[in-house]
Amino acid sequence: MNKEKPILSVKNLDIGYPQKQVASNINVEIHRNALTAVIGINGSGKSTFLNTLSGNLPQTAGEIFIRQQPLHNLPPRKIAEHISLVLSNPVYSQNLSVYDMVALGRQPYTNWLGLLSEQDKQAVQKALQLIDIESMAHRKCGELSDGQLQKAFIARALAQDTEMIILDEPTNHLDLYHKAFVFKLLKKLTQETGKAVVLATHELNLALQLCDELILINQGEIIAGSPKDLIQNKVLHKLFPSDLIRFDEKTKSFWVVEN
Amino acid sequence: MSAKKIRIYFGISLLFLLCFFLLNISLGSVQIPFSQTLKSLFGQLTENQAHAYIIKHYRLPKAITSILVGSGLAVSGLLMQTLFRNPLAGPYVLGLSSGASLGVALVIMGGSLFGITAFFLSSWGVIFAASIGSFLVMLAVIAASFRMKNTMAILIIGIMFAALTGAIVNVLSYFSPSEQLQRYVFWSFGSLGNLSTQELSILGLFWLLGMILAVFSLKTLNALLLGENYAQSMGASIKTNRLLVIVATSLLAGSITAFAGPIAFVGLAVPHLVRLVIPVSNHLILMPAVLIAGAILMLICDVIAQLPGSELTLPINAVTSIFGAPIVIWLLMRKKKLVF
Repeated sequence: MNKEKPILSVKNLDIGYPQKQVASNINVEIHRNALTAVIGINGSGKSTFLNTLSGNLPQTAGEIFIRQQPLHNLPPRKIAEHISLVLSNPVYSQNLSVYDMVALGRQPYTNWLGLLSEQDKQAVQKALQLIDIESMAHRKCGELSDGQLQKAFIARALAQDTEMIILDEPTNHLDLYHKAFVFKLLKKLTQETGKAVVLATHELNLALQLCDELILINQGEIIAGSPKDLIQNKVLHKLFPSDLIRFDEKTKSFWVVEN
Repeated sequence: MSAKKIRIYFGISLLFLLCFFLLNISLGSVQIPFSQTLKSLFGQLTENQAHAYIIKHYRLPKAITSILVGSGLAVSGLLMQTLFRNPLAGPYVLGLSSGASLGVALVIMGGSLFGITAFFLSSWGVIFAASIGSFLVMLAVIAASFRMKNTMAILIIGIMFAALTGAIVNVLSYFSPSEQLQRYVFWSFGSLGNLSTQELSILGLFWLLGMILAVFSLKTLNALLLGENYAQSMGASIKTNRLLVIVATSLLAGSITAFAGPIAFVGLAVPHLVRLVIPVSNHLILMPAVLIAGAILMLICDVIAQLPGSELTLPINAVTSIFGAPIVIWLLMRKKKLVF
């Protein structure tokens, strides 16, 4: 058990919509330096969970605390200083340059016109350097490949300078190399910057290999723990119908059953 | 785009604005030498008092109206396109012009039905009716925007309002005598030239208020380029900003429609033209660029509408589309893609 105070803690949380409960009685803590993956099958409620954590969706019961403060009491401006997001929606402006996009991450700190101060410019530069995309700073978002665009979005979240980054399926549309690259990059960020990174993903094998914590959402139930705990408790074995996919403890990975 | 190129762009466009402003004032059905135009503009005595009178009381207000109308519509178009993240949005997507049209149609064509007095048939009556019409539609849209989480739904509600009011106007037109119908049709052509100094100052005041509110929405509009969820995660208050943009657009487009009629095309096209020429997405640069470009385009359209050298004038609404649409089509074909 981690003794340090968590960045974010969730107490008896119910998530969902007025007509539809998605999961209930969730208790999780998110700590510094940890890469946490939220896993579960399609429609299990991963995005609902992350949207609730980031304050985009109201909780139906229970409480979320960011640094001991109840999340629902905080205005968007304050939440933006604690949590930054990487979402899976497209960029609407093809004309937006990578630099300008990353600079938007400074919005919680800029003045009413959004003008960048010297400090803001340094933060943007640092974020570009960390992700190693300085060379494409002046390219337009419309010209980038999916992999490059994802890096730019992660740089934007870094520029926002929050303790916690939440990513919704950041490896969608990426090839295997870029999937692994993004996971490694996020792992590196947690280790080098001390940030807590939480991501929803379908890349179970990568998550098992690289994440420190897993939050499994399965039929309204939440099981959280280290990959080792989840393997020992045999919860991963029941995730998919066993006639098609089985979990192999030795290789810590999922395999398609051959007939 | 480098800061230097942007400065050059603004320098050139301001120069264009000045040139077309002077050109607009110096041309018209009465031929006035350019030197006299300049003299009367700067308050010096001119040989021909009639010329000075025409310039001061007719052409100058008309040129200023052109600038206010063009820039106001273009800026509201930009605000709407970013708010709805839709390149087809313009200042009238919220149903403002249809609200104004309904108001005007009711006083002009429904006058005999409702026993409307002479006041409502005067030019102030028409302005009043148009303002009330667009104001009521604005209230309805704002009420909808408080209930709706989804911005796209507001866009569709605006279009539905337009369809509804359009239908009522059609029914009124169908039953009205030809003289009243003609008066309504003339209003719908749009006009830049009939504003008194008093009317012009009221339009200017609304324009200024709308522009000030627009400036306050720029930071969040930049965040909205990434979508509403991102904007909120960066600390923006989506609903407050939506209200700010809707009120700014209503002040700009609503007052313009009330004073100059429903002028099409400019609001939709100018933001695209500007994005084609300077490929930036930062609204702190886009807004002033669109403001200047809208003013220039309207001054040019007004020059064409006057058909210099002849005594005829074309309806401004026809000119903006006849000359503007092919230019936008040509630019898009040349660039082969829509940048937004």
